[in-house]
Amino acid sequence: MSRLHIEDLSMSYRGRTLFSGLSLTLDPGQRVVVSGSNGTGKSTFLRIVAGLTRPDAGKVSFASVGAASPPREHLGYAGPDVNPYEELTAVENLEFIARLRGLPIDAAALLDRMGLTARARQTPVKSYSSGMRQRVRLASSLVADPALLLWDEPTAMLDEQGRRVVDEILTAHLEAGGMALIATNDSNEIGRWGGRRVHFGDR
Amino acid sequence: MSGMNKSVQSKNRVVDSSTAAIPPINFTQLRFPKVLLLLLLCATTVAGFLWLPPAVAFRNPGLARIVVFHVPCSIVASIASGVTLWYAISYLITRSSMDDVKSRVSAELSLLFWVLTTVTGAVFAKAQWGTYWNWDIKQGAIVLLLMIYAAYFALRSAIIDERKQAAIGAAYSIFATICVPFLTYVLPNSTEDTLHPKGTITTKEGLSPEYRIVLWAGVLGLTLVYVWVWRQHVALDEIRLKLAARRSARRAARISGFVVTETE
Amino acid sequence: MKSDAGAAGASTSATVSRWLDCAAVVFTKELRVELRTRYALSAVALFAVITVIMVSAVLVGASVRADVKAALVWIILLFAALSGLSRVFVREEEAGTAAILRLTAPPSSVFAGKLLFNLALIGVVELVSVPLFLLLMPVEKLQLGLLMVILTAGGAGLASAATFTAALIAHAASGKSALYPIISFPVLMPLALIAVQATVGAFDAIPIHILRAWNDVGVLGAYAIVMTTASFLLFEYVWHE
Repeated sequence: MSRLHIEDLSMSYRGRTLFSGLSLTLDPGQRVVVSGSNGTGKSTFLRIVAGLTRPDAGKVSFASVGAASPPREHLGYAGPDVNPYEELTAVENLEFIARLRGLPIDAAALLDRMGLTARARQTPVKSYSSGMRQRVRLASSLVADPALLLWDEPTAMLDEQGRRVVDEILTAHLEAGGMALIATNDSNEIGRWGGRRVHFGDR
Repeated sequence: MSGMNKSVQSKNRVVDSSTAAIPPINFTQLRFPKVLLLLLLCATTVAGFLWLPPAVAFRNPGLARIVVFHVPCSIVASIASGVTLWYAISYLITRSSMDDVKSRVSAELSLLFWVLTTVTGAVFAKAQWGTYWNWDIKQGAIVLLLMIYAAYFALRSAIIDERKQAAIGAAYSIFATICVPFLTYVLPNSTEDTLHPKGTITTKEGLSPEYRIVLWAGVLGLTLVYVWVWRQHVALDEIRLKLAARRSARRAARISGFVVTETE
Repeated sequence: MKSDAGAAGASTSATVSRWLDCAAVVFTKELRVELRTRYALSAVALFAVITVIMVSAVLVGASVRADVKAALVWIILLFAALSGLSRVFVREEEAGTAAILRLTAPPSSVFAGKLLFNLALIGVVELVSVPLFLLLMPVEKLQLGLLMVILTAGGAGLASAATFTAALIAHAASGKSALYPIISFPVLMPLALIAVQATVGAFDAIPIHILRAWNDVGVLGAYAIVMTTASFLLFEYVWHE
């Protein structure tokens, strides 16, 4: 079983310190809510954990693996900066990711769980509404059942039913021993999920 | 050298002020009296115009003296290009901001000296052979290098993030430099048709002793000018980086930027 | 059960086949997107065809020497390539899809997939525009075999160098399409000079030129190999920026 270690992370952007000395440990079955107003470094923090951005200092590791950064297979990242391919259908998008990871996938079942209808699944993403795109993003992050979910504003643009699905998936994920880092500014969600919380911004 | 030592310890941190230890040999810190440099440059310039005898073998013997400016410029430009390449590779390995500064500053100077080489060379060629240009190997390589450095700066200026700028710039300068040797195959290298005579400065028969002395004094002088300007410029950028790092460190000491809370 | 399976203990051959799979998957994805949008075909191939037609119309009635024709062929191919080869990387960054690849695939396999696609694209462009060029501006003593070898070797070098500069230009904030030729031409200049010199041999059929052209083909091959190797070595440094 793996455990996420974040040690002494520091990051600045264009001469401005976003955060420094951030340490955090996540055990299996745990989640941490990341909050803070716009531009305080929430997304940057998640991107660093995902390995998409290089931090100024500090490191992110999986205890049982001992790798310098979490291996890609263990991560499921969904954020506004990762879009599905417009020209491909939702099913094709998921299958593309699964093939790159070398794993089989039941894309239809996964999208069904996210609440995308069979007809929508077979049309290219460019005809989707922003809420549907968000569902594809979340489904993409669940491909290959990763140990660590990194969700940046997961419920943005989602309707009531979508939010319920996100809740269900998150609960199931944590019960199965998964971990999650979720960035959100929704006070409802912070109340619901936020036992442990990292809040960004000036004190 | 020092940049590499420093960066190994400090990884990606911009400046590590704690590394006060002096490396064993530090060529970049060696000092050279600037007055002597000035005298050397004046002496070569005066000698080039007044002391050197006209080169009788040339169509315009008086103007042949330009060779003592043209050749040193090309040699210094080559050195600067080599330094650019060296620190570009070093940057990609160490990711130290100072390596990027060293590479970029050297690229600027390299561009300047290549332009000087091209202009003096074209003037020389027009006076002696009646044409500014004829695409021999050296001219081809110079044009290619001018294009590469111009493109290098255009590319850098289009990238906003500083670290991206450094990495993409370094990768481009390495990639583009690799293609230059392929020109040596296709363009004529010092045949009777080309402007550049072969072995002028490397063989004994090539130049008269007076020319050889002034030419190599010019190489020494211009190389020292290059090293001096390069070091000044690098030092200036190092101060800028240090100031930026100190500002951001002060801010970081005041606010860590985050709060961790546990409410169960 | 969330396990660490698949992370460690993978043998070398498994890694290699995984890498090949990823490259193939990226290539197939490019192909599928291309078949749906026809962007590259309309940008690159159509550009080449229109330029060929225009050049032949402008030069109607003029007697064009074989060496000038060789130069025209390569100028057209070069400009056509630089009108659309950057798309493979620029599109990923602009549409915000590059992170999917960064998160899931080994960097070099991404480059391999993109390179394969650009190679195929250059192949199609050559297949369409060069015959059309020869149709509109006939070359009497054409050495077809030699020309095909030159186009293959030159096209390979063109695709590999242009794919790498595409990966660089994708990071620019603005003016990507204007900057792409600017940063690519210096890198492609040696290739263009060698390819033109070789094509002269294939067009005028002078024995000494043909002999030289076969030498040039070797150098074009060397250029392709060197630039491809350099691309793969440098790509990892620029991809994760």
